[in-house]
Amino acid sequence: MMTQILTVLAFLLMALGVWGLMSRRHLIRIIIGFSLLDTGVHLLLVAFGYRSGGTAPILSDGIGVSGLVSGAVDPIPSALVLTAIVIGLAVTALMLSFAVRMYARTRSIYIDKNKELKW
Amino acid sequence: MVSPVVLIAASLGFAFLYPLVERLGERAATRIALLVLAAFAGTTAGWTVSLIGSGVALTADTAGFVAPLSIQLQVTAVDALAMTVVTLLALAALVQLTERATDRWHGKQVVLFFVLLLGSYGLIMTRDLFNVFVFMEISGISVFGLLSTSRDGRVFEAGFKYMVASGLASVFFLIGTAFVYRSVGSLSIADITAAAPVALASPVGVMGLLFLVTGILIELKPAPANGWAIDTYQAADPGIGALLSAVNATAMVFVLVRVMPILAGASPVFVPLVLIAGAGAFLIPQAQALLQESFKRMLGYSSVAQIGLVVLAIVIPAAGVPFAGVALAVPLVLLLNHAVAKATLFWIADATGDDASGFGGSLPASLRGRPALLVVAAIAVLALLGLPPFPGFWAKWSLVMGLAAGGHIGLLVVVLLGSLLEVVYLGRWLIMRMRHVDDDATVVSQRIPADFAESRADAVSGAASGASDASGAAAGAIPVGATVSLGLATLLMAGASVAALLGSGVGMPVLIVLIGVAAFAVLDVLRIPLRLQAIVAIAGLSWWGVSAVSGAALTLQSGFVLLFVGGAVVQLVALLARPGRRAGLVALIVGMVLSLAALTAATSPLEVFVAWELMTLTSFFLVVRGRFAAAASVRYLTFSLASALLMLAAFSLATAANPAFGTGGGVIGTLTTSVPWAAVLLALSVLIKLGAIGLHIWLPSSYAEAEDEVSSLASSVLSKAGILLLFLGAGSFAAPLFAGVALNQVLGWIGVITALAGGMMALFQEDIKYTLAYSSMSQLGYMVLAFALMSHLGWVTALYLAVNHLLFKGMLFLAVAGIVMRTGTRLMYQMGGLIKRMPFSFVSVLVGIIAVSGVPPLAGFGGKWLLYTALIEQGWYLQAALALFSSGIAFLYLFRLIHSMFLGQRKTHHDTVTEAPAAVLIPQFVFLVIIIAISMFPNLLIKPLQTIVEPAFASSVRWEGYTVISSLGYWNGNAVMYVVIGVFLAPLLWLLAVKGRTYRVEQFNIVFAAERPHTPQSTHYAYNFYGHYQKAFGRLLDPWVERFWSGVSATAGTVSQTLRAWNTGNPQTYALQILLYLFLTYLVARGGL
Repeated sequence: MMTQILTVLAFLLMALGVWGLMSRRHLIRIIIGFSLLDTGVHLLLVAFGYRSGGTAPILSDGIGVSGLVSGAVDPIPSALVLTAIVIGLAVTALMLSFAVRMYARTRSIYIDKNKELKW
Repeated sequence: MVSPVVLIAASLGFAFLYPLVERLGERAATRIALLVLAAFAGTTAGWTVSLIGSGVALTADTAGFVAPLSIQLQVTAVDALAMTVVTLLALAALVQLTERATDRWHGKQVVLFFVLLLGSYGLIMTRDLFNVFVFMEISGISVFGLLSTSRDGRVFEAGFKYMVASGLASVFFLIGTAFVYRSVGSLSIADITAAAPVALASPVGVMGLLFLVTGILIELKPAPANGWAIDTYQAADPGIGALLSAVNATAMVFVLVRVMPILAGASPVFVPLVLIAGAGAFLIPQAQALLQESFKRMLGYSSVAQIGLVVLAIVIPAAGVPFAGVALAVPLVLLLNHAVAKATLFWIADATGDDASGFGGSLPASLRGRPALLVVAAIAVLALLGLPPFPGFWAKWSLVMGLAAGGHIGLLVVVLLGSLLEVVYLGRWLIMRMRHVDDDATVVSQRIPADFAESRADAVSGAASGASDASGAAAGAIPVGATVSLGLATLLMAGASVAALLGSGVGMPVLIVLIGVAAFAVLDVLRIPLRLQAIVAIAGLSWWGVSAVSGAALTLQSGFVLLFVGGAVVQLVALLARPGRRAGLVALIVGMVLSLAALTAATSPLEVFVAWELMTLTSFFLVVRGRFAAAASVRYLTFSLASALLMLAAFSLATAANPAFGTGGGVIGTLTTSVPWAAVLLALSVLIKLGAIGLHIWLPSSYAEAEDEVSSLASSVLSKAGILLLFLGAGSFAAPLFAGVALNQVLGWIGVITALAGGMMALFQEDIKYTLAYSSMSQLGYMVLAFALMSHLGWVTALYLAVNHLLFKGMLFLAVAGIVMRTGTRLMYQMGGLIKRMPFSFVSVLVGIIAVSGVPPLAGFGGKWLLYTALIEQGWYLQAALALFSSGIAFLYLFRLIHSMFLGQRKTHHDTVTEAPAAVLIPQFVFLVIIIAISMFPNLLIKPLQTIVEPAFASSVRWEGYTVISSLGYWNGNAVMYVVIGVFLAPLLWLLAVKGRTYRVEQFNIVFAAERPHTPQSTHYAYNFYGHYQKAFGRLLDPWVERFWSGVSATAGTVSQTLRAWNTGNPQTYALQILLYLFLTYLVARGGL
């Protein structure tokens, strides 16, 4: 149940991000939309690894390997999400720095004033 | 062997260490970086050598686990080869970037460069789906970082778009990965592939894969969702463009290669999906590139298109030699071919520092004075276009064969059409680069100067321009780095070409073409004088020709070898007339002749096609040498390669229907196909090459604007290649096509109309070379007509006309070459009265025009007699009447030739003109003697021609001594000669007797008064000589065909304009396009709405 709710939420968040990405003219807002989209994907990954009532995937004395396999949430998606978050951070930082440079060049933070290259 | 992990670790480690290394000094640090790259190259090359042919892969698991718990890295032979090429290109790129004049890379740029390389290695080696994502992002981030160091301020805008797009692609990829992981429970690609048919076949699984594949495709920058990538290519430093195109894109393709088995296993919808994506990604950018004024942007379009082709090739099994049965050979070769060639072009853009594409107002400076750079540029362009002998050619051949074999006719059309568009814009760039500095690239018809005064300097033929070529070398020297990297890339391409050539299984004749060109190119580099080169070529070709035909029975093959080699050898003598350096001339002529010979010896459709393409290329480079030949050679290249592509299509369809197609070799009907479409395409291809009416607009300007010696070779020798092809494909044309009409009947009409139209257009030319060029078109029309008869006499006639045309057109063009050389003009009304100054040329032209026009007693009469006999025999009365009419027209323009040039008043400034050099006269008189001989003794020629035709038809004529007797009458060449001599002798004696009573009109007996006319030439009797006919023919002479092709060109422009407007430059539009792309893939996968 939790997985389904999370999945739906994840897609909602992604949709929100895409909407922000597509509808805002302000570069920073576009980047925020982009981050929302990223977060949505991260949520989706976590949702897929989640198991209702599962324990943390930590091998300790009380739980053997078989117990871990049957009872813990899947650790791999969590690991993946960590990686993805780091990467997302880097990309967001780069996008922000590019936005700054675009503003410095054209003196406009609006996307439609920054499209010299076309056709 | 070195473990794959080491390469990743070393790239990353060196990137981190680099700031420390730089403490040793910037130069030392870049040198060390180059050494590290060289070590990488050595490692990957070592893998390639040990893995190739072994069938095993090098595998490494990470972190002490085995897959699927660990991330597995794997290197197969294919991967190793790709990594070697990528590393070598990266090495060359780094040399170029660190050793250039401005903006030398250092510090963080080198660090980012190594990170990019690491990402690319990772993408190729990793066998873990999530790890692919990581490496994609590593590559992406390093690219963004590198972009930000470009000088062009627009790069931030471009980079921002790129980030949005690649961010969306990553999101798709991650969603896909999440779904796949949920369904399969593993991220190991091997596990997923194994589980795909079961675990991923569900709608949810397919949906996940759809996201996954869309993410990968977007990373490959597919049209129509790639504007962001194109913008980036335009704004980025060309050095980064090279890295993006050669390193990054190459690695990304491997991701698709890895995922393809998963997709194919899960659902049958994915193969068509990828096919459609590849086809769109190939065709759309080719059209968009047509109107680009920025070279880098144009290269960007070309890059994404080429990757599209590779995507297509991944899912199409190769067919036909040389790559059949080798998995992934075609996409791999296409990919690496593209990587090397595209990197080269980006580096050239960087080294020359200008970004003009050759289209629009800005014309880049000519590179004529920089032969080395020009050769490198030409190699890159030809390789990109998939022309022999470069590796891409064989891959494209196998791909097209595979498309036809698989019945993908639509895709076949897409590939060929896209290739043709690519020829237009890349060819245009090359030609604009090669053109003479004086050439504004607009000359496609004769130029009449406004006044006499300007005419001399302006109308000088292209041949006189050799010495002034160096004037193009205005720009600065090429930086050391670019020299090294371009050299490395060219060596790589050359090595790959040799390897591909030797592996392709084509026979010796094709190899000899390349050896010949290379040998003479070496002579050129060694600065061996032109005359010596020409003598070596004459001796070599004669020896080669004699050894090729001696002892062999007279067949179509040996006959054409004699024609090609003999005709060329005689005309090569003319080169002795002009000392001085003319780089590449002899090499190209030798290449052209040898490729024609290879065409006769070809024993498979592949060999025919290779020889055809080599002939096209060598002749193109000959034509483009002309001083004002740029516009003409754009047409020449476009039409010739269109012809080649049609031939390729014909061959692929024919081979798909009958695998044994074309394997006979050199005999009549070798290329016979029973597939009607293949026959039509083959005929069209040949008709283009023959300049048939409607398809002829390339011909006059190409023949006329080439250098004079080249004009004569092209018109007399080269033009016969099409005739040979007609004979090779003979059996294809006789079968009824539709409504009982056979192709040969259509060919016949096209032939006779071409003869007529060519003659009529020749009539109204002031420029002698244009007259002769149109005359060639007309004569080729006769040959097509005669061939189309499909009868014994018709074929003998076609061959007879071919031989005769070779003789007299070579003679006429060389005579004209001599006259142009001496008078400095090509316009007939500026000549006149040359008979006393140039008597030998006069004799040659006189005999030439008698031989063409078909009046007795010379060989042309025999040709016409044979033609009419053959036509009437077959009941083609109407065609016979038209042929007769156009003979009359031929006589008119030929009469004008001799009248305007040799008779009448001599211009005072021609009073000191001397006879043409002996070297130009000798070949003319060799031809003259042969013409006289075969005129007096027709059996000398007709009997051998009968032998050639005999395998196809039994003889329909018989001989009595020198008399040939057909069902309709007889011709005795000997007797005709005597009668004509008698007929002419009587009036001649009479004229001599009354000579004393003649009154000589001197130049200034003719006086006109009053104002000086605006166009003085219009008062000259020889100007607009047939103006009255022009009025009489009226609308018939409208340039319909020119207008039609202008329309085609304009339409292509409009399409291009419309398509490129799609790339609006707005990141949000691009994002929307990417979302639509996803939706589109969904629709395709669903099979509709």
